Amino acid sequence: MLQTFIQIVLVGLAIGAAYALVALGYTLIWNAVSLVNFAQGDLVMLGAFVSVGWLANRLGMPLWLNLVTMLVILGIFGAALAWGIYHPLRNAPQLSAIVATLGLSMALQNIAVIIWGPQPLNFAGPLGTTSVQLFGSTIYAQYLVILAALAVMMAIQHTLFQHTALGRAMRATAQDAEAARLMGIPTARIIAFIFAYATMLAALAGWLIAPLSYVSSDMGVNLSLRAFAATILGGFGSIPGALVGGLIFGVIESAGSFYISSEYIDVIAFGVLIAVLMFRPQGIFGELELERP
Amino acid sequence: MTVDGNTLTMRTLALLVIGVAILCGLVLPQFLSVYYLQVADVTLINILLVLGLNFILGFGGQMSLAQCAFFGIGAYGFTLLQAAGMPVPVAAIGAIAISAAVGMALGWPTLRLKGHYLALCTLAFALIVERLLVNWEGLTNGANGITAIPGIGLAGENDKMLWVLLAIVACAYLLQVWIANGPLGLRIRALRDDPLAAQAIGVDISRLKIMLFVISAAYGGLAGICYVLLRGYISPDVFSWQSTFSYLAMAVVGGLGSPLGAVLGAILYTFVPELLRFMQEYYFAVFGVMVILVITFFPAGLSGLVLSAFRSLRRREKSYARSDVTHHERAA
Repeated sequence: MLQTFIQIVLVGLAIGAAYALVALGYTLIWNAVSLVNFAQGDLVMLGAFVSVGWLANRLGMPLWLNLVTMLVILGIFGAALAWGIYHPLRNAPQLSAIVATLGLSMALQNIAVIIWGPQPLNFAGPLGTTSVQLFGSTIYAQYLVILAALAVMMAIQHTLFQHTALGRAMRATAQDAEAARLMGIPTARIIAFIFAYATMLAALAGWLIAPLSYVSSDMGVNLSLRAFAATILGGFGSIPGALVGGLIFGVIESAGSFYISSEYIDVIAFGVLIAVLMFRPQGIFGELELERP
Repeated sequence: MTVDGNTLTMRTLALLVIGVAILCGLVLPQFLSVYYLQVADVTLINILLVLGLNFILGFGGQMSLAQCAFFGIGAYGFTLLQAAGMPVPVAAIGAIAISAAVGMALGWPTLRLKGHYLALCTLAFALIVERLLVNWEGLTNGANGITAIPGIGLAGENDKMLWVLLAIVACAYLLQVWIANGPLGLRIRALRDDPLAAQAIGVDISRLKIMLFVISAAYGGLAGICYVLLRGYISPDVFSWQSTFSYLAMAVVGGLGSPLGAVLGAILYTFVPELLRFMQEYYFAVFGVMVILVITFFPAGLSGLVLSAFRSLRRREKSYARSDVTHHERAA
C-alpha cells in the first residue's frame, strides 16, 4: 500500500518535473516581455525530434554530445523566435501575440511532420527501460533522471541569475525593461537570450521524456497545456510557483488517475484548474494580477 | 477593423448575400463531385463556427477557445433530443438552447478573467467537454460515437444539404452584420477597444460579455446540428479540443471581426487544402506561418485586404473628378 503510494508520488513528481521545465519557460518569457508563448510545448517536441531524428538516428552521436548539440541548436532557434515572433509584435495587443504563438505552434507541428515524417520515433535514452528499486517500489530509472535533471537545472539557474552579470541583466530586464535599457543594458539582446534559455528548458524536457513515450509531432500539445496549468496553479510570473505548480500538478494527475479514475483524470485536473482560476487567480505564489495594458 | 456593411446598406448586402448563396447552390453542384460537395458543406459548417467565434473574439476581443465544445454540445444535444423522440425543430431549438445555456454557464464565472487566463480557462473547458463525450458512455456511446441519426433524412445527400446549409449560413451571416452594425455592435466594439472607457459611458460590460458567450455558443450549437444533419453520425474526435485552433486560424487569416473574413478563412482552411491534397502538410505549415504574418502585418486579415482593395478601386473612379486627391489619400 505504502509502496504503491511512494511509486505514485515519485512518478507524479517526475512527470511534474517535466511540466515544471516547460512552465519555467512560460514564466521567464512572461516576466521578460509579458508574452505567453503558446508554442512552448512544440519546442519540447522540436527538441526531442532534433535529438532523436537528426543527431541520434542520422548522425549516431553519443548521448552527451547529442544533448549538448541539441540544446545549442534549440537555443539559437529560441533566440530567432525572439526576433521573428516577439519583436515585431512587441507593441501589438496581447491578443495578437497569443494568436501568433498559436500560429507558430501549428506551423512547427506540420513542419515536424514534413521533416521527420508522420511515424513516431523511438528513443532509448541513456537508460532504456532500466528499472530501479526505491523504498521497496519499482520505477523506471528515467523518472529519477528527470528529477535529477530538474535539480541540476535549478542549481544552474540559481547561479546564473544570482551570481553572474548576465543573470542580473536578465532579472533587471524582467523587472523593468525600459529602466534596464536606460541603465545601459542591451535589453533586445537580453530578451533574445531569455527566449533562448526558455527554449532550451523546453527542449531539455523533450529529451528527458522522449524515452518514456514516443517522439511525435503532437507530443508537445498535451505537455504544454499541463505545463500552462501548472504555471497558473503556482502563480503566473513566479519562478518557485512554476516549479511547485508543475510538481503538484504531476502528483495530482498521477494520484488522481490511480485512486479516482484514469478516464476522468483530465476532467478532474482541469476542473481543479478552473476552480483555481476562479477563486484564486493569483495561484499559490503569485501576486494579485494588476492591469497589464 | 472593418465591418463589411460599412459601405453598403443592409438591404443591398442582404440581396447580395442571398444572390451569392443562390448562385453557389446552382453553380457548385455543376462543377463539384459528390466528395467535393461534401467538402463544400463542411466548409459552410466551418463558416458558421467562425462566425460564432467572431462575436466573442473578433468583435468582443475576448480570447475564448471553447468553440469546439459548443460545436460538440450542439451536435450531441440535438442527437440525444431527437433520440428521445422530439421532432426535429424542437430538438434543434433545444440543442441551441443547451449550447447557449452552457455558454452562459462558462461566461458568467469567467467574467473576471482576461487574455491568456481566459484562453486557458476556455481551453480547459473544451478539453473537459471532449473527455466527457469520450468517457460518458451511457450518454454518448463513448469513442464509437452515435451512428444512423435520422436528422432530416438528408444525411449523405450532399447536394440537398448544400441548399439547407447555404440558407442557414446566409441567415447567420446577415444576423451577424445586422448585430455588428447596430447599437449592440457599437457597445461590443467599445468593450474590445477599451473596456474601462466603455464602462464609464454606461456599457454594462459584464452583461455584454455573457451575451457574447451566449451568441457564440448558439452559433457553435447550430453548427453542431448542421454537422449531424449532414453526416448522420458523430464521434468525439470531431470535437477535439485541438480543433479549436483551426477555427482560430480561420478567423485570424480571414480577418478578425469580419463576417466576410469568416467566409474567406473557412474556405482557405477547409476547401482549398482539399484541392491541393498532394501538399497537405506543407499547406498547413504554410497556414501556420500565414497566421503569424497576417496578425503581424495585416491585422485586418484577408477580408481587410479585399475590402481596402475594393474601396481604393471605388475611390480611384471618383478621383478622376477630384484631381486634388493626393496619392497618399488614395493609398489610405
